[in-house]
Amino acid sequence: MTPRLVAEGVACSYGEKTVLRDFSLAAEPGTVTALLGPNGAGKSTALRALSRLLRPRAGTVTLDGQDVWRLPRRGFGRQVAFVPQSEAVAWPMTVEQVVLLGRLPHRGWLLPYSREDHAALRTALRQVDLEDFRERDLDSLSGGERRRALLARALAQDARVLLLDEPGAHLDLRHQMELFGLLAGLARERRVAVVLSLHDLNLASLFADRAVLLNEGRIVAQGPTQDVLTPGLLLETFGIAVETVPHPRRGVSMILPIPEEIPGDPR
Amino acid sequence: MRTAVFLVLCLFASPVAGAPPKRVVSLAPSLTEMVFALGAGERLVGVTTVCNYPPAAQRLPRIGGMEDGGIDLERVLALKPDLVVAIGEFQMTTVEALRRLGLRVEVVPSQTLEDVFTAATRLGTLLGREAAAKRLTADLGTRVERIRRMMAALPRERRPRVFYEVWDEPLMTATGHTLIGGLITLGGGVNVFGELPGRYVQVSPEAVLKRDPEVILAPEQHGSPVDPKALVRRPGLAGVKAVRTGRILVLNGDIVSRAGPRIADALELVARALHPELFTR
Amino acid sequence: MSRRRYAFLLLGLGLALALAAVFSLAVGSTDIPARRTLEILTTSGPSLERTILVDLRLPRIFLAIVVGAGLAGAGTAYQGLFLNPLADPFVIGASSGAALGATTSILLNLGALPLAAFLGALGAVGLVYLLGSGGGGGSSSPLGLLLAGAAVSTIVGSLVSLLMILNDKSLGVIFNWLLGGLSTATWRELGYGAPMIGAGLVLLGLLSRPLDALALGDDTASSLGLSVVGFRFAIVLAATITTAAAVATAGIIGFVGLVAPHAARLIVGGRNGRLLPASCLFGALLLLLADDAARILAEPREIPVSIVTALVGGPFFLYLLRQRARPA
Repeated sequence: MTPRLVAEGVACSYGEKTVLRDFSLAAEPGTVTALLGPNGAGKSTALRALSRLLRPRAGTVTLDGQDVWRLPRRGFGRQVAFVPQSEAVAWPMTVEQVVLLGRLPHRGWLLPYSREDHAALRTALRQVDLEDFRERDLDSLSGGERRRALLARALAQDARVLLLDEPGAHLDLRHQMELFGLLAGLARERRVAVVLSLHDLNLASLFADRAVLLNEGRIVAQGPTQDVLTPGLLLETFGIAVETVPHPRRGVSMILPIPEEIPGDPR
Repeated sequence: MRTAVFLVLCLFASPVAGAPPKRVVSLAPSLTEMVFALGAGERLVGVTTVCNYPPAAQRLPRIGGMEDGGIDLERVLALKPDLVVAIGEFQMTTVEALRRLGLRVEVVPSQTLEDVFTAATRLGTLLGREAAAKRLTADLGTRVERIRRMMAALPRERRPRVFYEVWDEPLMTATGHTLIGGLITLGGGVNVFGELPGRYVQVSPEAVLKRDPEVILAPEQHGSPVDPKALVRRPGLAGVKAVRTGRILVLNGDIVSRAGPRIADALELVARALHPELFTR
Repeated sequence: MSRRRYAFLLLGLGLALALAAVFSLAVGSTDIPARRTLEILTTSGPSLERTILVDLRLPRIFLAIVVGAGLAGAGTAYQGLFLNPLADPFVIGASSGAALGATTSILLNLGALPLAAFLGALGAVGLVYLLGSGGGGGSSSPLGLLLAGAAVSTIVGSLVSLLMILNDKSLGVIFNWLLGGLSTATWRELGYGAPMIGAGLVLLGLLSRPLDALALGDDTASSLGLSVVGFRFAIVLAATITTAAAVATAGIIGFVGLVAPHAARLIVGGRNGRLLPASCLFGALLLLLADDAARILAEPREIPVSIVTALVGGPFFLYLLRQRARPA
């Protein structure tokens, strides 16, 4: 059973500066929710508040009704996984070692890894197509491959809620499609709740069921993706004029930005 | 078996007058000189690398330097001494280690003029050379006393201001708390830095200039020999009276820094340097 | 690196260490023929040679091994914790604290030098920890600790220098102690140092996985269910006990804690579960051989062992630099 991770009226600040206010979101099982907005809108902050990394100044974050800050870290880690945008890896570590660490919430910090842990490792590597990379050092991988390794760790964590910070960044087209396809598949088939932040509006349109538009720390709009990705709301949020056209195969809105007129440019 | 016998001897050595030690290791040049001065030099089986007097000492086996970490414990053990004499200070870790290994180690302080006399007496007792010790202390005492009386009568104006240069870069001097500082005062001089705290302290050339010493003394050893001409050329010291009048004297560094049997020689040396007029004979 | 290869590596290192230890039994100014060594050790009968072997050389060899392993282990932990390849066991103040403790004990004639040094090291690191936790709402960030460590080391170090100059009677004693050395090592020093260093290393071994997770960043470690503050404290504590005990018994010996983890990492990789034992074995081997060299090179005087380790460490870093410059 997928637990419900809910944020209500969350406000966060770094020092004196409030970067997120009145943020409410329910990570619905079986759905992919996209957090969208310009840089500095508060997307990463919202994700960190949801993943129990940043303590909100106001509001609550609950998992199945319980305040997440009252839950033991390990217990929370078994249910909710966070995939950061990047990770500094100072020392050579193999993919296997990094992914196996995802079993920490289950195995604990002391006991040796079990057969079950290794099975979860293999499954996770297969899901992200990194089986051949098992013994490779993490820093010998490309940016995209590294991202998939981090995702594999979250998968090995066997969490029912996945929070990802810009998972598509630096991935080539094919891997982007694969990654989002994988996430959408997990949501659909395993009822995993996925919340991720995104810059590419069209990817959001293709793969996210729900979208949250953020601007300057506030929610501008929230709801089914197709209702949120409208020219009016996007102009208000990004300050860019857009037109939407339906995707020829899927029917979902594809966002076409309209560049400013350049005098003398025939286009 | 032998170790057991040694241990027993160590236990009973002091209260019971057993046979005096026959194999002695010295961990300091002042003590080495003292042992020789007491006529027991042939009993020394090991000395430090800086034990260079008397010449016979230079032929003795070396056990390393004088400080902790520089003394080779194995060599000391291998020489099978029945007495090790040390000055303590920066040797204590070695002293304790040697004691734990079952050796008899006597710490004989060797820093001040008074220490010379107590050391002579103590070593005399340890080595069974009490009579020699009495003669030595009497002789040294007489010579020291002679100089002391000679200089005590001098009024302050006739005591030259003295600067003792221990090292040139950085400029270092000895205060009144050192052996040489004491010798300067006894020898009828006034150490311009005598009243400073500490023993060997760094001073600035300006401070020396301000105090305008009339005599500059420097030791001959300590790495590169101090060159009086180089002293003269030093900027800042050029205006000093001692430099102008050329009263710069280099002394044997060993004897003025060791609280040993040559201390009276050292005192006489200093006194002659400061008051040549009193020694015309 | 597969399990078998790793096992072989440890075995190889262990063997090398054993051989070095046997070789070291022959190092010393007294000539004891190798053949007689076994005879002397096993058949009883006190003799000069037996005293030299059992009371001087053997404890010294064991102390070199224990201290080398301890410094390497602490260095490994700190490099992992601070994600900094230049971190060594003394980076957060243990050495200056130990020096202050030792200096105080010498000046006040308190005796119990190893204890004073040990407490001084713990005290300094404790201070660094308090200061470093000031920012970030109680959590001790690696950067905060490093900065506080630099500050405390500098201030305490200057204090020690000041004390040394003001009371130059003890200057020689303190200076000697600072240089470090195993030359006066007896079973007593081993009795002080070995249990604490052993305990610290065992603790660090248990904390291998948290150390790995922390190396991936505070956020990651936290999201994997670890208390960042708690485990960081535990690792610092274990590494500091080890370092403090090492310094208390053998003075300040540099480069071992810096070089051994790097050497081990080149072969074994960054996972601490494997890195730590390999690093400790390297450190033990390094210090043992350095101590032998310190004794052999300038007979009858001994070169302070820190100088030998520095002579090894410097070129090693040049080598590391070349390794990095080479295209992967």
